[in-house]
Amino acid sequence: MKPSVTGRLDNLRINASGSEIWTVTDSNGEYTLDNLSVWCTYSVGQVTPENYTRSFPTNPATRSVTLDSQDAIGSANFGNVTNTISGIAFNDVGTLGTYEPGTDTAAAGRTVYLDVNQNGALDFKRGFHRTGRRVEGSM
Amino acid sequence: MAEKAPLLWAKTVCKGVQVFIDSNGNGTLDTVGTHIEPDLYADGQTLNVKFTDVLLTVANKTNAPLDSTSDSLWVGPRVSAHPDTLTATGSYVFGYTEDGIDNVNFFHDERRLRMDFLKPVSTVDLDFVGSRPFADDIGVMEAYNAQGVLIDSYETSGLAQGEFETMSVSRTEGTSPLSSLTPS
Repeated sequence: MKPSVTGRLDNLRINASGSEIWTVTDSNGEYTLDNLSVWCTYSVGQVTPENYTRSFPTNPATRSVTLDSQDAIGSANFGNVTNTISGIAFNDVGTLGTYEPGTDTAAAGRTVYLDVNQNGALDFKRGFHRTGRRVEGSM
Repeated sequence: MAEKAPLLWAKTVCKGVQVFIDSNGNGTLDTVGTHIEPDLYADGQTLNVKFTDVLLTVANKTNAPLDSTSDSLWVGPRVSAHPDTLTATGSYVFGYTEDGIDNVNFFHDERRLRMDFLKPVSTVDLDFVGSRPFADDIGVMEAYNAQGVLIDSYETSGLAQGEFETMSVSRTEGTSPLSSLTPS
């Protein structure tokens, strides 16, 4: 068979001797580290993405997995939360467009949202809960 | 009673996160290698001399690197990142740009992606994505030592459009480290 003339090339990983074994999560947030030795305990870590904070594990930052048989498949999950966005909603009495303590007054009960689809409007969807404080990600 | 602000909570998956075996227990990923993900670069951004560990070039059918220099009259072939719907990760792939041919998002027999490593390398993984709608694609990656001797190669199975397979080559312990690669 002839080699491809149109296939795409993506995601280059180069390792030299001495590197720790690593991989990258897929579109489901899943990952596999394979070709490991049985009867061994491994510490599995994740590189926390920029603008995220790892919610678990915290101390230690890695998870311990022991493969104790030839067919063993260990698992170690990681949680990430986006960094918090905070601010003040205020009545702009001074009309400067910035919050002036003593002049402007705090506006309680205002709706603040993440405009995920950037349509400039708050969109409610079934399945969204009203109890959380941040958008969370999980692996 | 004041209105409670509706707050949003949703779970998302974290794609593209690096996970590793922390063999020395220091809590961080220690690597002497490089991860080059086209998604991290702008559309059409030149990648030839972007990295400290590897030089990327466009090569011809004999694997000879093509001159990427440019002047007012000529734009040499250069490796670049391009958006694509057929990817293994994210939404960008490797491609090339040259004089009169902009933003090609694949390589072929006359225009190959060549990697020259600036220090010894033991393993290289690169994802190959099938692209043709009614035929399978096969990816090939060849590894050479510093003397230009072929020391390993990888050929994917036939891949339908959108399917991908990781091409992996490595040196055998005690043999010469990889020097250059030409996937096509």
